[in-house]
Amino acid sequence: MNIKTVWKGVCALLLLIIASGLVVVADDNTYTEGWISGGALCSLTTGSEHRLDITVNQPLVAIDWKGGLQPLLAESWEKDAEGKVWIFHLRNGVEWDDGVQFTAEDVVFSFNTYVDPKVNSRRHYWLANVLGYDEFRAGTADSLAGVQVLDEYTVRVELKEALPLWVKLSATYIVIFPEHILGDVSPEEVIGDSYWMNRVGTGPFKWVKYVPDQYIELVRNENYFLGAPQIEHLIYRFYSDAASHVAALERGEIDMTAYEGTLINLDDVQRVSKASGVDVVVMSKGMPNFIRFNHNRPEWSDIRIRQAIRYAINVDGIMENLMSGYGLPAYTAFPQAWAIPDGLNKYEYNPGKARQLLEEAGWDSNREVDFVYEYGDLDTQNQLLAIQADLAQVGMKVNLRKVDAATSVSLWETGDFDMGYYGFGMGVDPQLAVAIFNGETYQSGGYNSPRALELFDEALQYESNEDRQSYYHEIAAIANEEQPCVWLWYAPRPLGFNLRVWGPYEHYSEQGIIYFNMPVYNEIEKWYIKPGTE
Amino acid sequence: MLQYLLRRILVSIPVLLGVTLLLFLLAEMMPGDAITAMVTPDAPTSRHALEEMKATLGLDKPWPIRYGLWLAQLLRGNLGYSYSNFQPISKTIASRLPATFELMGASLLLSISMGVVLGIISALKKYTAVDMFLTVLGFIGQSIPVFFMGLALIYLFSLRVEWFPVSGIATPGRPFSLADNLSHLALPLLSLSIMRITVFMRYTRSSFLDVLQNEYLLVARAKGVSEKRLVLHHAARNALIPIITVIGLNIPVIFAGAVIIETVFQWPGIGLLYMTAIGQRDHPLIMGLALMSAIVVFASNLSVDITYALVDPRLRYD
Repeated sequence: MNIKTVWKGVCALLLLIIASGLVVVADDNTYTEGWISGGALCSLTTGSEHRLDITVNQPLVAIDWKGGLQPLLAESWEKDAEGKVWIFHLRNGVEWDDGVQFTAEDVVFSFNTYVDPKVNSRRHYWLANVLGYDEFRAGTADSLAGVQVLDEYTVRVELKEALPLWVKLSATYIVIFPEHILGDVSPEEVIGDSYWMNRVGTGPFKWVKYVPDQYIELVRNENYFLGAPQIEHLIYRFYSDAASHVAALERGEIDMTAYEGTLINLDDVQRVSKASGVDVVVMSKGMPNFIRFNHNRPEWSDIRIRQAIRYAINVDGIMENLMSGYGLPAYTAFPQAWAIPDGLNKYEYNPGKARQLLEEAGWDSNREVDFVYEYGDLDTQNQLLAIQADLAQVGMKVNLRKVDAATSVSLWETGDFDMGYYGFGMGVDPQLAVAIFNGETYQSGGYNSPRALELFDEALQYESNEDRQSYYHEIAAIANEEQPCVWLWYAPRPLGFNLRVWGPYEHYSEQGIIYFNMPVYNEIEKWYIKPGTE
Repeated sequence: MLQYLLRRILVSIPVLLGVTLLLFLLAEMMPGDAITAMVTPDAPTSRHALEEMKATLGLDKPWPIRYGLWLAQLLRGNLGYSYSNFQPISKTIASRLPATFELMGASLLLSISMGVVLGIISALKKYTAVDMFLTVLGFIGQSIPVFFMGLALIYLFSLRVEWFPVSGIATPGRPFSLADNLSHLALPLLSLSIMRITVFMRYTRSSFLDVLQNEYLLVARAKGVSEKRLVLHHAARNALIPIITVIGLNIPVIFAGAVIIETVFQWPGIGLLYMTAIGQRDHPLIMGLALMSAIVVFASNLSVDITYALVDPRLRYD
């Protein structure tokens, strides 16, 4: 075999391969979305990957992109006078993808599955207000006493106490699964069942296939009760690496970047939006980023030290120079403007005051502080370096340490933790911030405010924002004064879109704020590929 | 020979068990576990709740018991189930092997063929411009971090000129096509191979230079053997013995997958599986992967030794 012929063969092969990449293939009506690889696919265990819970499966009612409620599997619902008993009227004539009728049995089964301790779902908390939750969790009951089938299309839910906002704050998290499939699986095996990799649902799209670590393919559901989608194929394409994910958007391989992780850095927004046919929407993450403390250590339970840290950090400077002007400074827990009173302490940058407070508190400047963080993106790293420098200026030595999610929770467990940089989604409602004030949770770092918890409870008695406002104002004032976490900024999250699709760009622009960790209805059945684009 | 083989295999069993114990302890030492990895950030979670969840996975038992349970399962031929998706480990690993073989096998083939050829050229044209050029290229190839190489190739050949796709093993939603698969293979293959080519090139060059000095070549030349036959037939055979060693030691790499490249290019191989397993603290999966690697290393070392005996008549084992 002649070397020259081998070389010629190799070159020919190479040209063939390149040519195959260049061939322009018709898009055949497919919408592709980026998805961050490595997450769970099961609704009962996943933290944030809930797209399947609006496209294939659905809740009874979903939060919509404007922050309102969209009836899905429940056509309507009513409550008794205070909001203790709820009756859901289910949509008639809906079929699961395998042709079986959707009924109230599916709803009751799903509610019970979330709470069943043998199933071990990580999302049972969202039904904590239902009557019988504690008994079921403790094992003294084998189902939720408060959830009953009234007839084929009616479900009755009784809560432990009156909660007029229960549907918005809890029911929107609960996804409905087919009792005729998962009901035959023993509870311990539900999460591991192959159903999650071949779902049967009621939503606008049906499952086609799942190729592990590559993609999930869905096809339109012609019988969808809100109308058959215009898009024929929906593909969720997996990416582990942020740079490749964004490159895929620029290349046209995906039509939207996932909103769960930080993919587009703030200083990249301009560059990415210049790619042909692509635009970027800078959304609000709907949460403050904050420094969480281990309140079980005496230095961090001292309010002066926490306030000193806030005075020492030049938040405005960081936002201007490192965040390209995006985002807003945060002085308290809630992202919702209506929940925040006027007159909060803005903790204007004041290193002198910080030093004074540290001295009063007896801070030992030789103490080295272990500052952990989970997010690996460039923006976070730059921000934290600036914070480190600011704190060094006032005599606090901080060592930055990147850890992964598993480690950061375990640090709290073992108590081996000084402070860390965190945030979690509270976009839907200020009620979601409650964990921060409850000393038993890891989200609080050990800070407990009985007064705040009382106020959160009282606010839940009311339905309208006007009625609840005064309670949240008081909680916001407590959070502002005591800085249980040092509130830094309401972070922005850029999302990238390919404008060849009508739908995602328009809806997310209108939404403006990301609702994490839950399915969000945004009319995907109305989205379409614009004609004349590829 | 057969006795030798049997003895090696027998000795390997306690060694492999020791390796699994060591890896189990290392996995234990990682902070966090499968539960803390999956805690959802907005649902208030107390220590008590974490303990409850751990108990269902059996993570509350002391580590010797858990190791013992894992070993017992292993001896029954079962690698167990993943903590994150509860799928059988053996099936998960097996499903990833084809993609791994494809990438790593192609990389090895490419690196060996190009590395050996370039190394021979370099050796024959020692100290000429060609040799210098290849040497410098070699240093560059070995110095660039493979992660950077991957992203640079994506930028150049996927974004600037749209010759190749960004990532993945195939275009989603389409039936399998070899051309599509190969076009996805190109960039990860290149990123991975550039460094290996330079390594093989250097080894071959020095091995060849060594052999070219030998006297039997002088004799062959005096006998009138053509230069081409001299190099390819006489010299190459002897020069290749050390190269077989290097190749053999690189075989386990075919099974290991390239963790960084697979992450950058979303190549669904063993490397990506490993990364995910570690992030999720999925102990059964980590142990399954580690055990598989250990067995492969053992098997390839054994094969290399056997190959020596076959290739070099001077070596005999008893």
